[in-house]
Amino acid sequence: MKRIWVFFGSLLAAGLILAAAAPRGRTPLSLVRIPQSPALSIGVLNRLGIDVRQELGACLLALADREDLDLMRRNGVRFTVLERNATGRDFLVVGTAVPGALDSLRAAGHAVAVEPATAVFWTDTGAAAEAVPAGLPRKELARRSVLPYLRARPAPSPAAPQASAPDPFVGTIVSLVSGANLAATVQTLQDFQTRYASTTNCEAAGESLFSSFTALGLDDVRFDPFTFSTSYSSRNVVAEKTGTTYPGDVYIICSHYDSTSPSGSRLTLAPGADDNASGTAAVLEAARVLAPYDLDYTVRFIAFSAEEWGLWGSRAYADSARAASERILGVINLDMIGYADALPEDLQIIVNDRSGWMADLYLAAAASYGILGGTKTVDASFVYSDHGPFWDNGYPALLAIEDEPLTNPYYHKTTDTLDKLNVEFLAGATRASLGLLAELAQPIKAGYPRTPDGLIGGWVEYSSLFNRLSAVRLTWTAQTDAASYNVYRAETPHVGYVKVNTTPVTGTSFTDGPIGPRPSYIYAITAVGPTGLESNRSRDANVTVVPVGSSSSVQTVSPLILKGTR
Amino acid sequence: MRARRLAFVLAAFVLAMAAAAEAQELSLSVGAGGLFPKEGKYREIYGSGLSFGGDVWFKLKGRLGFAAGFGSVSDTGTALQDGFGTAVYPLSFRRTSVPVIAFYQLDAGPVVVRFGAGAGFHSYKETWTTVAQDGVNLHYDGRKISPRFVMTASLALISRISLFCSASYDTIRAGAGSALATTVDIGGLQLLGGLAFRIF
Repeated sequence: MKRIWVFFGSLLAAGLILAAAAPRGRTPLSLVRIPQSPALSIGVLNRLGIDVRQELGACLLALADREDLDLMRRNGVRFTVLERNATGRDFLVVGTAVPGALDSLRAAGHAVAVEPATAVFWTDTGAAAEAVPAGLPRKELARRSVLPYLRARPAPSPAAPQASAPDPFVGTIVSLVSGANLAATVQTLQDFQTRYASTTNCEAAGESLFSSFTALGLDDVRFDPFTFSTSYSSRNVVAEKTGTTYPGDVYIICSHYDSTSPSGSRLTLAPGADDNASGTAAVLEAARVLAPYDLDYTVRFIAFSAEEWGLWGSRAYADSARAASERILGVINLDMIGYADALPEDLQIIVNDRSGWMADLYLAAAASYGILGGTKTVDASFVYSDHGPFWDNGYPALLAIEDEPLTNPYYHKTTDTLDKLNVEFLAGATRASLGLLAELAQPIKAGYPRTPDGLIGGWVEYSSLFNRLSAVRLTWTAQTDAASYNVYRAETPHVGYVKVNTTPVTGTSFTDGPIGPRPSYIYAITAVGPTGLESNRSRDANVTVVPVGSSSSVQTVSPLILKGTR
Repeated sequence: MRARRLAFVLAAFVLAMAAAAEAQELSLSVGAGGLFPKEGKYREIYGSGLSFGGDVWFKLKGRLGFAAGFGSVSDTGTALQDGFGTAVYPLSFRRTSVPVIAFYQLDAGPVVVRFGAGAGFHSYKETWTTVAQDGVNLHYDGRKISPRFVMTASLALISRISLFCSASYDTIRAGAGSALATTVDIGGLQLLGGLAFRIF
């Protein structure tokens, strides 16, 4: 009898130990929709630690357990539960702008409209990506919370800031873009018959691109392998021109090289000339033109794969870049830039709130170098191309596309071939994209002073009896080929720089002040040589207001770097 | 402007009242000296300020009297700094006051001592004397009425002229509406030395 008690006692003790040692798993997760409104405080969501997985134009999508739901209720955060059993499910955001799209989604699984042209889709079996009807743009939810990269929406500005005047040197570089090269690359990619990810032809196209990039003599060309949809694998092709002055700061120009067509033919015929041999040809041409020039910043030329499966290549790349804390300052994603439904055709530049400056600069570059018109659209819901995963990871990115909604009648068809494209328009879009890229990456001109480095800035508060004014103290590294320096200040990244020194600065420090009541200022300097030639602008120093009493802040990172922690 | 006008009206009223009360003695004093500020921040920025002033003294029958006058304090200093920096931002400060007081007078041969209390009507302006970008406010000014306590002593030199000295104390809490949203006492102990002229 005693042994029985010992046995049951041991059993009970073991059970208690196991229960105590068991991981404190979250209660079942729900997928919730949180409407975006002026009343929604991103700060509150941050404090509550809500696991936001997607930012859209009118709402956020989040995974929340019971405790999160209670917290949101208690803090007045409005939300709607879309699915109570979200644990382990794959959710896709699907574009439903096409008439009948929502019905076809509902026929394939569960679909809930979360915005007028956007639905969330999932299936009971879990393989949501393969269940989405062909032709509908889709994107998986981010793998991690995007909340660290969200912030209160800026008040709409009355006018876009003025970009600086076109740079003749950049103009010279851009003029080297060749329409014949672009057409040849589109033809080469089209000749693979299909580039549907998972096919050997797609992999062969990747290898062809690898060879093409390698032939340009860039600093690094590599495959970036990834797996997708559980059982497939493919490779992004990543080529790099390493920056001379700021090698750790990266601008990306990218496209996807995979293609698709209706399900019955895509394994054998998906020429994808417009979608997206056109963008890929532009990326390759940009690499060819920039290859001979030294640049201040690192530029990566990337051809992603498996975009048509749901942005798998770019997602793997952007997630990995974020995990490695890569300093990606801007991403130019080119997707379908060769079809002109009407002449003169213009470009649609789609950005989220935090990337608006890129669209402004792109349109200025399009007008200056591409002789193209364009339209800026701020739409965080348009996540169906390779810029989407960069947004998820807090990187500024734009999508350049010929039309949105699409007007290409050959889209995702076996008839999407080179003869349907307008090569002149494709060349213009390439020049515009390259113009922006060159302005950002800053080619180094022979005979000019080197771009200064080591700029740091600190905020200093000065107070009198009744007033408090601020000044910014800047210091930088001395440069042997500089006779003096100029100091520039801006309120918005990359645009509107104003020279603030009235006489040449001969030392390596400068105080700008008193200055007005803004939360932050952006500074850059240039070196001026003995003959008066002025270097490229240095990397920005973003100097942020520090409350009186705390130590002065010093920030040397670009203002484009968004940092966040969970 | 309203406070200054009120001060002048009040001063005129006091003088008129004194005249109507058939003042026994009318004297005028002028002096220069320094302000020793009460508040540490003021001292840190400006140190001790240069001041000067003048008053008209009406002694009535008995030992009581009224006085009104004008005073000015001005100084220059540099802004206090919080954080790393090497810039120096010069400041200037000016305060003008119209004091109106009642006093009690003691006569001891050639020495006359007065104790008084009343109010001071102050207007003040602080200026950052630097160049700044547009939108940066470099000035702050205001007005304030505050209590004033005075002690003077004069020593007759010749028939109508005396050596004169005064000590006055003001508590002037100003600047509640400023960018700093805190008040600063711009008063303190003011010591003046000069001459007094007895008119009758």
